[in-house]
Amino acid sequence: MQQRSLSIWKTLDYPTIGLYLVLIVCGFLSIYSSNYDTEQTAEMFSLSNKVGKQLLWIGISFVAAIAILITNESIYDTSSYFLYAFTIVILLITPFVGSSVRGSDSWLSFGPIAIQPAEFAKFITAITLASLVSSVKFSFKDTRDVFKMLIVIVLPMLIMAFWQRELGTAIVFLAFFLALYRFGMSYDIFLLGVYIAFLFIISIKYSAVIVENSGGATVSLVVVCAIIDLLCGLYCLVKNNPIYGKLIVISTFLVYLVSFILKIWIAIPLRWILLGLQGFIAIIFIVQSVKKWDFKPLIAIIFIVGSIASIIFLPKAFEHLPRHQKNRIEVFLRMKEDPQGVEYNTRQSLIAIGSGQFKGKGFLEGTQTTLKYLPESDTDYIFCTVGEQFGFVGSVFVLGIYLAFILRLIKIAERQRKKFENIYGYCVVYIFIIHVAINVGMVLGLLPVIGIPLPFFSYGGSSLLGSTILLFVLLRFDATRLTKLQ
Amino acid sequence: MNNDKNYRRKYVTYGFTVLIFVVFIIRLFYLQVIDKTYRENAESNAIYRQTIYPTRGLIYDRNGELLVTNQSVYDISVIVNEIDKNFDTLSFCNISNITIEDFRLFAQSVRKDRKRNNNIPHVLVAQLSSKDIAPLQESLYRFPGIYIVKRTLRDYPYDCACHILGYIGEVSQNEIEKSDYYSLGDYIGKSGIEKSHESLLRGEKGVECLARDSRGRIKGSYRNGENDKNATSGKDIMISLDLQLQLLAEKLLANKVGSVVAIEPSTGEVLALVSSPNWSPKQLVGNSRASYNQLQNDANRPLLNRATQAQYSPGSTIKPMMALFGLNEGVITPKTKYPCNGRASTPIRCTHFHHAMPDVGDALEQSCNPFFWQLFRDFLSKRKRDESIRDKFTKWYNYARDFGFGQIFAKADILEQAKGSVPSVETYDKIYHKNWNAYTVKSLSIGQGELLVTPLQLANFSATIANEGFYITPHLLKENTMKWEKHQCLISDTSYYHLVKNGMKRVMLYGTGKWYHTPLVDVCGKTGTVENIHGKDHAVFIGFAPQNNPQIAIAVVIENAGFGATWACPIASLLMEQYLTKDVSRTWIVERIANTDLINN
Repeated sequence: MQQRSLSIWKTLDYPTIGLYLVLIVCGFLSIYSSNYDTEQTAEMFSLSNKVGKQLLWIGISFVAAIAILITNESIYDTSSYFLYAFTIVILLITPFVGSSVRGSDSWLSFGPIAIQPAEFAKFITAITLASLVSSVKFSFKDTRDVFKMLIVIVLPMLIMAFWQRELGTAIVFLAFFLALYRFGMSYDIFLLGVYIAFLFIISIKYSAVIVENSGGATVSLVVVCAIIDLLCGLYCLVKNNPIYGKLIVISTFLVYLVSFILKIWIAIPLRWILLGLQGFIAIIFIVQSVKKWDFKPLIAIIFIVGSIASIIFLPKAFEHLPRHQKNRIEVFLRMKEDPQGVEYNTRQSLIAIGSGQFKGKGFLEGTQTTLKYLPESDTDYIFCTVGEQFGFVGSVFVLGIYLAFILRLIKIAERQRKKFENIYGYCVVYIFIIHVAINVGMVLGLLPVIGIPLPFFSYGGSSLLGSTILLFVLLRFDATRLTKLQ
Repeated sequence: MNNDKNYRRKYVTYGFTVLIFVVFIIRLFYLQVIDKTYRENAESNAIYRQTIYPTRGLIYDRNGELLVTNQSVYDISVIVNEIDKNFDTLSFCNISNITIEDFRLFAQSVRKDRKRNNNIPHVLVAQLSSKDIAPLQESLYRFPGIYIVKRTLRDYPYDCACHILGYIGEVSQNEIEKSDYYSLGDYIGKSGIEKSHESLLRGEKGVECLARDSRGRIKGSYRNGENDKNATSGKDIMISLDLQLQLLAEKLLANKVGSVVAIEPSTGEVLALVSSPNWSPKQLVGNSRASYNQLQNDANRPLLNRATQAQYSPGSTIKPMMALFGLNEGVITPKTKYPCNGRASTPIRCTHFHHAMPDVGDALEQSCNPFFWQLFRDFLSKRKRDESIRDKFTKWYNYARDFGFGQIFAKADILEQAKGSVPSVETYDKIYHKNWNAYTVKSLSIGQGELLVTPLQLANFSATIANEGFYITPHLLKENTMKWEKHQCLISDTSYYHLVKNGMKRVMLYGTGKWYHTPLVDVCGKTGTVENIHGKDHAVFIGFAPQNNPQIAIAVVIENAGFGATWACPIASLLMEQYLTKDVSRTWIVERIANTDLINN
């Protein structure tokens, strides 16, 4: 044991640690500048101040990092299920005992310190998932295994999204699907994901738009039915039964053509015509399954029913979302304007970054941040402080550090010899990618407003400590990889 | 892991990562390097540009007496968000001398107006004097959120010359749109000198850039004031007015409707310009501006500058012009005599008693109407030359215009001017359908009828005679004498002017003005009595003194006062004496005139 803990320091991946430290320092300077106030510089480092608190959290994170590095890594694999169960319980009770911050019930308070268990749930879920998928028996082709895998990922997601009203962190869990893709998971799930996202957008944005002279058929129904029919037709043409395929494609084509010509002159019950067409296609698939006694085509029926059900019920479910989340989505989909709310944030964020121009305004010279135009300038919108103070040069520098950091982590994740550590490494990689992509994408106005922190930059102890744990457990695995058998 | 069949999928991760960062960098490049609008947006967010108002220039009279100065007044302002719960409203109201009711109204208006920024000061009470503000100033520390803001207003050491000085007021929307200098709440000259020399007097506004946070609170100077601009004070100006002359003129015109204009002939400088009734300049300053409406509704129209805007027939004061014109056109010679049948003359009778065959000097002395009528008739009717009556009348018209009648002095710094009117051939063609002759326009020869002049034009005419054939645009600014235009008249033969001057001298010695002749001053003058169909005749007088090298030319019009010789002449005589000797010896006349009320009886 003595010999091994000595060798840790020799085999540790110092470039990653270097990049980590650069990010921590840049993040701290950003927090300092965003809390900088021309009138009260004296008590900047006191513990009652955010800057002082963050300094304390950085210290705690370093201690945690060293603790992780000198701890035997085998405990994670073995205790993952126990930790997972514990975490789920904590997540469930948080809304009862915790306090509500900004419309989210995800905080646990211990005196002056508030902790967000969701930040640590990412780590626990990562080791649990790695433990599950790396087990010898696990196969992506086994439905039960896939079901278990989905439970592990989706259970904390659902608790966070609907129980704690913390949608942002829940979305980060999508990173696990991306990570598993590397280990043989079918990409169908991404196509399904894209299709669900598409259904979501079209059903929310166009559910209220009625096609003219059509007896109340919505644009969403018309478009989704067209996609269903074409996909089913193509499926039959290519895979299954060309005759039925032609039948579906031609009937779809005729129904649409005739409906759209007719509705120029007379009102037609387009909704019922389209639903009838879907029923007709469903019957074709049922006939096929019965004829060949093969129930695979029945998946198509699930697809048809699911799609139509979602465009009918998703808008209703959307109405029940918490108001601030509904608002963010509506503003992003350009369904309404909210210049004082969500749009204000995005606008001020763009002004902050844009006004930095090429060279930036200089450290502590940013008017948008020091004069508090930018909301959340030390948490979700912290990248703005970089953009404003250091301009294009500074922003590209910080993004460059992140890019190098993530590429280095991919390399580390790839070079592990145990599958558990591989999978865990990829989970870490994608968690960081998703965090950076969503946070910076939001700040740059490319993505809807989803409040998640920028790792190592944003103010917040839980986020910093959680990210540090994620990173240093991976580094601990990496440091001892050579002693392990494949 | 090299036997891993999903090995190639790691490149998806690499590619995905790099793609995201490339998109971000392109977006950053667009936001920070290509699009330049965000910088301005950030500045308009963060910079609060506070205007620094320059002090307005002072105005002095020709002898360096201060006419217009500035006074400090104080506004009580409130920053609503800085007022705390312990604010002692009662004692605040007592100290600052406002009623609780007023304070409550203010609080209500604050609460109602949601758009208003409660982090910047709003005026609670405006324009208090330093005496009124003193108690609050001492105990200001007890009332956080209350501020005393200093402003400057106009002040007038002497209660005079309101029409000349004019007044200032907040800019109107119209004025803001015309110029890019003004913004809402600025003060601008609204009339008189304050308006005509606005650009000199106002100075240049400065700006202080202050950092403003998202809640509208001021966070000190923006970048240590590197973008600040200091205000430039307005220029002090000296105007040509003679304060003592102006004061005396205003005293003499008290309780009369009329006006006086005095001009220094050699320079065109206006020495005194009075329009009565007038107001105290202090009436239109600060809080007392409410009296503007009262002035506006006054039946005697004090806001009208009668000296430059009222139009009268000149009456007999036009006769010097008729004499000059007759001589210049060769209608008469200095020896020409016309018969006068006194009251029996037709078509215009003579109102004075003199011998039967006056020459031009006698005619001026005695204001003989038949002489000037016959002169005018001979000019228009005798067909010595091949000229129609129209051409001849146009000639007369041109002479009249040449003396400055029928038009404004466009380049003068007196903005409120009326044109007057000189009837032209077209005027009569229109009225009489081209069917008119010398008898139709007979009244013009004695200054009645369609000819209308302003007192300023009359004074200028008087100055032209004094100058023997030229005038300089009447003006008020004392500096830059060179830029004022000199107008050379068509009639330039000085012997004609000597003749007329002698006639006007005789008016004061033996004629209609003899009652107010004083041996102290060598006055030439001409009285006039203007027939007024609406009531009593207007008294008019023009004159200058001394006869040689005149120092002052004057025109006086007193409405509804009867004979020119009775009211207008003594006022002019006293004023010329005052100006030339710096004193008035005939104080009894001053008192008599000053105490006469011609408005209310």
